[in-house]
Amino acid sequence: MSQEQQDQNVLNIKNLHTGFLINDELHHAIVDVNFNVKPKEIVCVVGESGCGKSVMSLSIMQLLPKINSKISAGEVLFNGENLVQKSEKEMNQIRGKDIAMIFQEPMTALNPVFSIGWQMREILFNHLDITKQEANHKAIDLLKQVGISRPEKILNEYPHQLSGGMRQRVVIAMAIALQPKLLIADEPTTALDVTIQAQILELLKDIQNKVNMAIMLITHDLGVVAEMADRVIVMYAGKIVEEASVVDLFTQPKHPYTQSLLDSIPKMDQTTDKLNTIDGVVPSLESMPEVGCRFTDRCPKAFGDCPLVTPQLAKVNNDHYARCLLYDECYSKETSYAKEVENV
Amino acid sequence: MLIYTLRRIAIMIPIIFLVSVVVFFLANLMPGDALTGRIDPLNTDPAYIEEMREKLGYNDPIYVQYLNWISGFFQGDFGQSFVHKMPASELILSRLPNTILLAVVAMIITYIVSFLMGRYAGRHPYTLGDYGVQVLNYLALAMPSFVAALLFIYFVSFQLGWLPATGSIGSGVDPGTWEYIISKVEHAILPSLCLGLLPIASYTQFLRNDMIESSQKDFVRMARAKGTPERKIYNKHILRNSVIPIVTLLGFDLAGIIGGSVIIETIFTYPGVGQLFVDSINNRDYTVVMAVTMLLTVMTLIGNLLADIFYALVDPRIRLD
Ligand SMILES: Nc1ncnc2c1ncn2[C@@H]1O[C@H](COP(=O)(O)OP(=O)(O)OP(=O)(O)O)[C@@H](O)[C@H]1O
Ligand SMILES: [Mg+2]
Repeated sequence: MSQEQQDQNVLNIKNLHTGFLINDELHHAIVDVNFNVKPKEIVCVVGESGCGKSVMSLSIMQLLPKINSKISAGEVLFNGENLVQKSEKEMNQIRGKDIAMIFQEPMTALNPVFSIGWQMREILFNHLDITKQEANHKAIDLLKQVGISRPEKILNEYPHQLSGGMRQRVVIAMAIALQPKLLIADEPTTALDVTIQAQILELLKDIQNKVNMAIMLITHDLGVVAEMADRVIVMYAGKIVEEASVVDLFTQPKHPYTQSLLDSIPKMDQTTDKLNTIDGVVPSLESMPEVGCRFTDRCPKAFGDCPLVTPQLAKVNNDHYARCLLYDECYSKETSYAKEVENV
Repeated sequence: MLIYTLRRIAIMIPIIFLVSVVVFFLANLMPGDALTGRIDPLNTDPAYIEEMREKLGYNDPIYVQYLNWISGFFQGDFGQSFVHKMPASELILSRLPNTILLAVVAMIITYIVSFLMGRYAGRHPYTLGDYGVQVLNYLALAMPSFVAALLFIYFVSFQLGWLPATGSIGSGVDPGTWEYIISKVEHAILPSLCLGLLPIASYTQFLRNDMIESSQKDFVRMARAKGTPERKIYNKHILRNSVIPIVTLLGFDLAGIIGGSVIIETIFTYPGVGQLFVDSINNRDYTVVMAVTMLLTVMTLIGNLLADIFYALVDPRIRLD
């Protein structure tokens, strides 16, 4: 990718490594993550629970818990500026304004002791020099945009008086308040029931069209991916294992992990009652294998090289990347057949 | 809220009634009475004692005595103190302002100190400062209040001479002057500090732990994602949540502090209700003992009610009705 193209990206993540201190030892939850988000694009990040999706989004926002975690290598370039090197003060000017984030749990994302109006004004006051009245007007306007009727009334209410769907709308209203260039949504609908889920996704898509922002949508629901994504990133155990356009990913998945994920979607024409599941779980941070493919133990197509050679993410097709030794491209020169410890 | 308060007050009446029965019969089970306490039975004419007993109603059946007492109680007549030769209610009223001053100063010290220490420790957990606060807390929790009182008296009063250690007022100051007020407060500080020691330690710990817990909450992460500066996250988002539980303790403390004043006032020879209580027990002045016990009961009930009302005031999730 040329330098010029890179500059146009909203987000460039290069060689990102994020680790947690467990018993005084740094264990990486994110290893060698590289990807880009273009303006107005919806990129979905999928993967099982524990594979590092949330840690990655917190790494972008520089919101990792300071006591026990750190970004040990790599860059997070937002509009060309490396966020990893920003001070807390500089980050506060970016968070909420240029990059907004919504979280999985709408029930607990709002502070229970402050009114909705207070919490909406807060994000406006953080970034704009306006009066309380102007802030209230803007808040009402935003609540209308996310489809809340009678927003004047909501402003004086407290979170416990609203339903989960309403709260998530309020959170979205705050997220779009300053027309961010990038919205990171970490499983924004997982906690909601199906009809509300559809409404919220619809709303996100609507807003994205109107305000021209890019969305990085984290989910483990492939149905959501099919509906929302332009491009999909599949993560496994802290690494990206496949990246492709949504059509390519669903029609010709390359990585066995992606294939298993797709297989595990229940199908209407399925003849057996049994659901296809992937046996086993994502290894914990302490038990991560140091060499070889991290999916080996659970992989139906594993062969001799898999536990010995660490596969590289490589281009396997047009705009389609995978990290699997089934593809010769993934044996990179430096690491092929070498049992050396991963260079972390 | 008003209806709720009235209903709670209505519920108090049967509780007070029950407590009064217990208090009265316990007091009557205790050996001796006001006469044995004050009169040397060997040197007094038994006929006179008998006459007095009859006059004071000690020979009536116990339920008649109880009914006389309780009906007086509801009319504001707590009976007569034999020792002080005045109505028990007047006696208590003359001591009450001192104890109230003690309680108020204790509360103020408790809230200011524990708020500052708890907020500091909660904001900077696992640092040297936090450990310092913890050590102070454990000391305060482990030390009985009378030991603390003796240490305060020895060091602060005798060695340093900073604050008075006995009485409630300096000699020769006239009521109504500035010196009078200052002297009053000065005399209240050391006993208040002793009364406040336990609540200070527990509130500090409470606030610290709650702040550490709150700082992990989703809404804090959300506030950070909104670009809210760290200072405001602590001072608004976290503190406002963590202060709720300790504000609600205020009501309970009222009762605790007045109970604690029984020991502390005696040590500091501070003329309040607590000292009166101990003296009255020693003198078998049971009318006063019963009246003070009833007062403590009512205070406890009011304290609990206040706690609930404060809770509703600071936490929007609680609605009283
Ligand atoms: N604060 C933390 N301290 C230690 N380890 C952590 C911490 N947060 C996450 N981890 C570890 O990092 C790994 C990735 O976790 P992460 O929360 O990013 O998973 P996820 O993909 O978001 O899962 P989910 O779908 O359940 O949200 C896990 O092994 C997890 O145990
Ligand atoms: Mg997550």
